[in-house]
Amino acid sequence: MKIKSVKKLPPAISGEDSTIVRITQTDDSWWDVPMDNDNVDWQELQIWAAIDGNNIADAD
Amino acid sequence: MAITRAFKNAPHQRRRQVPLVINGDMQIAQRGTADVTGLGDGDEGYVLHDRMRHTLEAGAGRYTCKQTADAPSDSGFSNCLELDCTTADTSIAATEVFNIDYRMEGQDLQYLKYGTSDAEYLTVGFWMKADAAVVYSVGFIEIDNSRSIRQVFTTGTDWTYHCIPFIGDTVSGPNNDLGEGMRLRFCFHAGSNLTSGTLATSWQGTTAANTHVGGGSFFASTDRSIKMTGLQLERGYFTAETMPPFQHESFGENLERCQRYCTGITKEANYGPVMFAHGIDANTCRGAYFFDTPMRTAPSFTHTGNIIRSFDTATALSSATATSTRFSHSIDWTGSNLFGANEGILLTFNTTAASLIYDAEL
Repeated sequence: MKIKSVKKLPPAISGEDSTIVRITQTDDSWWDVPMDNDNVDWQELQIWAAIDGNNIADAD
Repeated sequence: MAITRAFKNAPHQRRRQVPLVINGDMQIAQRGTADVTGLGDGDEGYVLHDRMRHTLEAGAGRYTCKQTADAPSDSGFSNCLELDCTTADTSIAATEVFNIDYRMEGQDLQYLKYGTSDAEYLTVGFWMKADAAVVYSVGFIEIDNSRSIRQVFTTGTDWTYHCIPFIGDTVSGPNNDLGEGMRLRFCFHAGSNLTSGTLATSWQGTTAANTHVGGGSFFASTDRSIKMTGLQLERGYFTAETMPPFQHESFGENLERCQRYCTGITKEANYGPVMFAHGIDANTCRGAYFFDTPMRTAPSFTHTGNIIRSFDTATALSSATATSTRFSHSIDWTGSNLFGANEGILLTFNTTAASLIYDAEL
């Protein structure tokens, strides 16, 4: 993935924790990725987020 | 006479009920069937053919991926994975690499008895056709313990069957889980970081330099092309003469097995139904899709093209995943003043190309 930005999506029920993030890629295509340790996109995102300067933004 | 007939009609003794490799005949392409051009550095992932993953760090090299109706004659195959080099890269940086991977779950490999003294051979078979005689490499990476084994092979300009046995690893084996246990990796291009050692012809701790030693480059010229089909893995030691025949599946069986890793829903007709939803408020409704085949894990999701409220052809809805599980997926669709709370709503495709992709790949 060529990641441009990552942001948590609002939770399914208001007041609960977010369980999904939206990855926007450099070509503006996007993927909704569950925060599930068996999902390889989430695994790759952990590596991306560990790099200085990369952040997962909170939901609106 | 009855006994003779019984023997003659006995089912072929299969070494495995279903083939280990899914979509080895390159028939299924849920993400699309149109050529994808300009693939290059960083374009990593699944392109057209289900289960066939492209891994790329390729500098200037570019290529096109196609699902092509070409195959060895009288082989029973119809399609192949085709790679065409469109921009050469002869100044190869140390880190460059171009692989096609087939990734397997650890729980599907326990029968190979890796990590024991009875570890079984695994033989790779595939048909390949290239522009010239080029040396490429193939082998396995055992992910959980970071161990590898490699071999090289030489392509032909006609369809050629390659059959390469690999000894089992008696030292360690993949975990018994749904994560990636082993990776079959074809390497078609690599820089010195992957070529400067000694080819890992026996199982060893993964050393990058021992990966593609003596291998050629797919990006050597724009003449380069590779076609591949009939990819199979068989437990045991086989040669081209003794390799069991490819286990052809019906298109439906093949698709169903692919859907554990990817489910694609593509517009086939104007206003074709996508899913039912219920209104949350004037601007949002929540719809759900229930997978025909449970997916490997909670999938990632994207959609392209326009999804609309039935009959409201003017407004393309925006989407955001609400929940994602192995069995189902819910989406909040938004559009201004289109819905009523607790109203039942049908969502459909509009008139242009569109698709929903659920991805639980390895």
